[in-house]
Amino acid sequence: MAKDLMTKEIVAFNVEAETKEEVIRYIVDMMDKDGRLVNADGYYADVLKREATSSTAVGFSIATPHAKSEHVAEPSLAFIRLAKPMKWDDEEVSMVFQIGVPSPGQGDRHLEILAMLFRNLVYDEFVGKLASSESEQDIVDMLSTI
Amino acid sequence: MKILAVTACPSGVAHTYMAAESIAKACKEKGHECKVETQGSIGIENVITDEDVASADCIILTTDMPIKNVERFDSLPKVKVKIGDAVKKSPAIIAKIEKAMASR
Repeated sequence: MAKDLMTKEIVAFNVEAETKEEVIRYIVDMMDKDGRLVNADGYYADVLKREATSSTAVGFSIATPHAKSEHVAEPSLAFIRLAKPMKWDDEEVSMVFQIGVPSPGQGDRHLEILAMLFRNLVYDEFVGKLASSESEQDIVDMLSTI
Repeated sequence: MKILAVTACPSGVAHTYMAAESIAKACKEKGHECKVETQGSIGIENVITDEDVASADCIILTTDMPIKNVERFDSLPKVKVKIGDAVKKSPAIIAKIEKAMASR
């Protein structure tokens, strides 16, 4: 049976990282441990390749690295909060959503996920809850209802 | 008022949707009817129809990317805004529109 897009295994708080590469690697490893990837290094490279075309820091203290990749087995939406804010290209970021979608197949699923997320980011209440939720499951529940 | 908008950004992934939601939210807060078409990476959604145009007071267009089929809106007053402003300053944009329309 296919996994849910987001589960608490791929949500983490208080992540220590100094660079966006460290953050992306941390999330890749989290997804890999949860059995969502075919090849962790391959997916990591694909996310960085996308990131190199333009920054995924989108304001609201949030970055959204993503890739549609042959190295992904299950469509996945991971979320982490950083222990302390870091510089992500030109912006300060304290929370990261990372998306992985298998390729080929799944159509524009990852873009639909992103569109849904971005629509919600303009609501202070949504971002406030992301910033303050105390449990991983709360984050999963929030994202499953939007 | 009925305010229309079309949003589009270079990557078509983030700002298109943030701006769309921000404009819709600002309109709702001020009690205006609103419809926002997104021209993004997943195609054109929530397409504005001739009926929408006929019943609308004005249209907001973002300027960062050419808007497709813009000739549909020839009959309407246009408000052109940068997409970054649409994301961050929609309430101010709506207030400006209210003022401009009141003095027409």
